[in-house]
Amino acid sequence: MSDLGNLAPDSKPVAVRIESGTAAVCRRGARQYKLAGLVVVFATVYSACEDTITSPQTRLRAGQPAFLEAFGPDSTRCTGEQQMRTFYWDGTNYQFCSQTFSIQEPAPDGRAKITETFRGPLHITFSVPVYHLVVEGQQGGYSCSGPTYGSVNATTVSGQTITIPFVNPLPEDCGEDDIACCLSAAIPTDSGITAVEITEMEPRSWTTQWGDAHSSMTYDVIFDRWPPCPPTGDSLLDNQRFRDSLAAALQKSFADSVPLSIRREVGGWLYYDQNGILQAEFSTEPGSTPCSSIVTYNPTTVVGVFHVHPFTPANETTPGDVLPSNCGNQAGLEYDADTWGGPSNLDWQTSIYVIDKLRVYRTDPRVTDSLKWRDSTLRATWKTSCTWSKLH
Amino acid sequence: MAADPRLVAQVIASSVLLAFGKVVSSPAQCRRADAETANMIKYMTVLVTAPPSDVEHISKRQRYGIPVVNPNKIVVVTNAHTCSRALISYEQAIPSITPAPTSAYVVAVGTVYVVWIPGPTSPASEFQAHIVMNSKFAVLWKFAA
Repeated sequence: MSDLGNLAPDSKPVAVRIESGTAAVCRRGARQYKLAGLVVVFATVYSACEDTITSPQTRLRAGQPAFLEAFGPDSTRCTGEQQMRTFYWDGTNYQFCSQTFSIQEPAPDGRAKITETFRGPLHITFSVPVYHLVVEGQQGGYSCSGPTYGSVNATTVSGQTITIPFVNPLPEDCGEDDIACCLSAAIPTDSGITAVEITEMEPRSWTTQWGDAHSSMTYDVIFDRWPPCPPTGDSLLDNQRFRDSLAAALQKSFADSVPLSIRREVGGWLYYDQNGILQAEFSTEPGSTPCSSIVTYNPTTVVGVFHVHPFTPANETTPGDVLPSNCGNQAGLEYDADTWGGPSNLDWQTSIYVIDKLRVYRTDPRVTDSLKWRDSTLRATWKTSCTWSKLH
Repeated sequence: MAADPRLVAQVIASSVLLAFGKVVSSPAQCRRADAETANMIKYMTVLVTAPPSDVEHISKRQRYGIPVVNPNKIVVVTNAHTCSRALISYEQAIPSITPAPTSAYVVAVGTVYVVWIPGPTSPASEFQAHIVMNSKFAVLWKFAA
């Protein structure tokens, strides 16, 4: 079979270390600022579930004496919290886990009393190279007039430094107060990234007609563990829009859901719109199960048909998923993506793409001899050794 | 007791055809060799010949209960009694097949059998159900493909 995957440089999890240039300081009553009633200072790293993330300081543990000491004896209103949660990122439909470290100062009167948050650049290092890195300022406020929104400086495995200034993704948010909420910077490289530095926006403090203002920002650092998937040689599979559509189909199939009976085969088809852009439509035929679906389409415009097998096939370490109770009398059988090369015997009756939780498969319509089906299946491992996500 | 002339004719015909290495008919319960059995033989050959580095196939072979045999021991079964027993066991393992199958593919891998019928066994699944059985037709493993 044409196995195009397994290109991972290594399988070690990523350890992420976050360091701020200057320790955060929290004081009460020194000055009053106009910004939000709840100021949140935290760094979030979205990564793979098995990755570890270390916070800048041990004092980020809520309620620990070290935390209070670090923030000064008068900082009794400071609270800290450490959250761990599973995060489903809609942007590219891949599952990530995140660990969120946050320090919060509640401000019941709506006026946070913060003189400093993290100061200086924020340094993030990765134990192994990461890919598709995006930094998003998701919550905060800064002056739209600048002079700078800060930047992301990424260091690649080759030692190259790539500097991308933050941009305001929502310029209309500036409005009368000339303050915006959000920032974004994507690192346009397919090279592995070993470290990033996030520099601050300026000014840090300024005066508005309503009073003093103070910039603050919550940064999300989003990355993939794996390098971009290499080309498969199939023009549709190498189209990012199709890859995104397959990933979307997988998510629509609830392929990560437990019990497995929740899952559904989801299918769809591809066509080129009047501008020559590849588009995908998902079938809405009722009655699909985790093991079956019906995809109806207009054969005159369709250029590809696909559907999901929402299961994990057997691999080196684990057996294939066991079909759930709503797969008819096949409940309890192991999902085997090997017998016919990945697609089922029925799938081979037509030209079709199939994606399961590990690989994507393509039947070859030119192969009419069923004896050659298995060996002619195009198989690409998309999940564990490379990622299909795009730069955002 | 006189021999049934039709049976004699069938035995002679089968002997002649087998001498030329062809199988043109098989007892009713055994589905004849075709592309499906050929594909299964290829698959089973992959499992029994997997090198030590092929952990995925070795673990699958062990899980399925497939013995390590010479690939020439992977053959399509044409013995009516074997197929009949295999079909009974198959129907017990995969109940409520409508219409009830009257024949099955049976591929012997040494002392075990891989048994399945054409097409999906349920409208709720696109897959084919395969049962691995031992020489006494006890179920060793079930997989869908």
